[in-house]
Parts: sequence; structure tokens; C-alpha cells
Amino acid sequence: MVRPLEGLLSTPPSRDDPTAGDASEAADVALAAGGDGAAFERVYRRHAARIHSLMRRMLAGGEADADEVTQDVFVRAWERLATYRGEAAFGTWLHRLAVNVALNWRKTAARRLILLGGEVDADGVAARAGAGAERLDLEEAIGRLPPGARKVFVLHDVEGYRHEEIASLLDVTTGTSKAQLHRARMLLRGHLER
Amino acid sequence: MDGHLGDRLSAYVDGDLAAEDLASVEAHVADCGECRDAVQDLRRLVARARALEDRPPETDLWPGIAERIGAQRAGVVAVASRRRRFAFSVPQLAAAGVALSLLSAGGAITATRLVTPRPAEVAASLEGGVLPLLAAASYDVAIRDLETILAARRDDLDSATVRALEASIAVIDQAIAQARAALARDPNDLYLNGHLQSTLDRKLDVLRRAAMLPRAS
Repeated sequence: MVRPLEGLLSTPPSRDDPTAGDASEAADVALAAGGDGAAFERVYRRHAARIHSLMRRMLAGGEADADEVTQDVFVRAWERLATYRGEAAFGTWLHRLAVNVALNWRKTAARRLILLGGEVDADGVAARAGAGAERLDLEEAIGRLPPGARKVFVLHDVEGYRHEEIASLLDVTTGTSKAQLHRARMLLRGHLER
Repeated sequence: MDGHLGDRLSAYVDGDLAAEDLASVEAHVADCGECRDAVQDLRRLVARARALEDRPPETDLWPGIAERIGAQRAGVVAVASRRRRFAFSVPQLAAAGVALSLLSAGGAITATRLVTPRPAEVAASLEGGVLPLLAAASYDVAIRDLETILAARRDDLDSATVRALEASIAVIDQAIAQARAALARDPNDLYLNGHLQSTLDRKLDVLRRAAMLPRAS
């Protein structure tokens, strides 16, 4: 079961939040929470690249999936703005919400595939085509990782989450998180060496 | 090679090894060329992962988001205009009052001025059939108090923030003025009453949040 994120993570991810401490961001968030769509559009435009990139890497489902889930993230953020109390930077709050949406979206996608008769691997998501022999760039190589290893790699090495946090998010042990990270790294090393 | 150290290799790269493991892993790496190469490769990989650049979506997703949240807002207004005919947001006024009391603890505004209509006043005003005068007056007082706080804090806030707030509040004020003008012509119009109330709610919320913005660094 994917757990709700609010209050779960003791520290924000270490990846830089370009808007942390930005007073105009705080104003826009406050205005958006009051129903100001124009302010929320500014919030969206500040964070779209970061959230979309996170979705692209987490889901490895291509641009269309990332688009769909990114829209879901911002709609959810709009719905839940009133619950944002400013304890963490807004970017951190949004990022956590996005991770949660991505993890739940994967389950929905897996259910869809099962209903359609698709093959589902142990992670609950259809296995992707195996790595080809060509040399890959890192983004492509991440996209070819098995889902479990990919999630851990993105959260740990790209986004800066700790193993304890990842274990809570994915409902696995920290040992599993560490093992998946190492698996991902060694696979990536292989992909990138070709 | 992976069999040499397993996931302790990644833990070593991350500096996560316990002291009792560290010495043995370091000794192994010192003797094993394959593991030394792997450590270097993994360090490079981690650095590259941290340096990955974000890129925006290829198409602008905002229109789709705006459509979805716009539909939600329309739904809220429609429900509000049907179900909240005479209600006004006492909890919201109370919340504003709490914020006010926190912010004005050392200031000129005292708790006695906080605006939360008494139940009897509320009940009496609900019999009117339009946004009650008492409620409208209460909104005015709450808004005025929050505006006083915001004015006092103006120099503490980022100037760009203040400009953005003032621009948004001006838009809301315009909507309030239009709704009041329309209501003067047709005081019993339920939609206009609901619209005025939601606009006042919105202004209260913006002011309340603005009053709680952190001081500019």
C-alpha cells in the first residue's frame, strides 16, 4: 500500500528546489489557495519542468504518460492547496504530492493492463522491452530499468531521498531499497558502458 | 564482479557503510581492480544522476489543467448558489479571527474586535432571504482588520509580493463592487448574493494568507 506523504518525510529531498524561499512564490500560492487561477498558472509554470521530468523518469511511459500524470498532480495540488500550511517549501510539498500521485498512478495503470490482458511483472507494471545493444544516454537507460529498481534509483540518486524514506513510500524494507538501488546502478553501468 | 561485494559496493559509494564493514570493504577495493573500477563508475553515475537537467513538457499542459480546475470551480459555485443560499462562512471568519489574534497580539487590534457573529445574530440574519446586512457588515470589519494588519506589515514583505497581492486584491475588489452594484438593483437575486459571498470569502482568504506570509529576507 502506498502511504500518504504528508508528514511522512522528515527532511525534504536534497535536489534543489529553485523556488525555495521565494516570496513571490509564497504570494502566488496564497493567492491560488484563495481561488486565483492566474496565480496558480504562475505556480504551474515555475514547477512544470521539475514535476514533468520526475514523472517521465518515474513512469518511463513516454511523454504522453508524463503529460497525463503531471496534469493530475497539478489538479490534485489545486484541490489540496488549502492543506498546505507552509511547514516545508511549497516545491517540496508539491514534489511529495507528485511522488504519491506517480506511485498510485502506476497501480492504476497496472490494473488497466490486467483488465486488458497485458503481461504484468512482479512490480505490477508491464515489463518493458529489454535493453538494446546501443549505447544509451542516462535518461534512456533509466527508462529501461525494471520498475522497482527504477523507482528507487530515481528517488535516491536523482531526487535525493534517503533509503528510510523510500522504504516508507514503497512499503518495502530499507534492505530492499538498498538492493534495488545497487541493482539499478549496475544495470545502468552496463547500459552506459556499451 | 558484482559478487565480490554485492550491494555493499553501493553503500560504500554512498558513505553508508557501518564502521565494522568499512575496513573490510576498503581492503577489498584496494586489492581488487574490478571493484575499484566499479566504484569509480558508480561515483560517476551518481554524479550524472544528480546533474540531470529538468526539461519542460513538449506541449503546454496548462490549458488542460485550467479546464479541469475551472470545471471544479464552476461546480463549487453552482453548488454554493443552490445550497448556501443564506449561509455565510462563520468558520472562515473565525479562522480569520484566529489569524488576526495571533498576528495582532502586540498590536493595536484586540480580540474584542474580532468578528464572529453570535449565533442569535446569525439566526436572525438568516431569516432575511438575502446576504444579511449583519453578515455583510461582519465581512467588512474582518476585511478591514486584515487590511490593517497587511498595511502594517507592508514594509516587511517583498515588494514584488506586495504588488502581486495588491493587483489580485484590486481584481477581487472590482468583483465585489460589481456584485454590490448589481445587488442594489436586485437585492433578492440569490445568485448575486451567493456570488458576493464567495467573492468576499475569497478576499478574506487572500488577506488572511497574505497576513501570514513570512517576512522578506
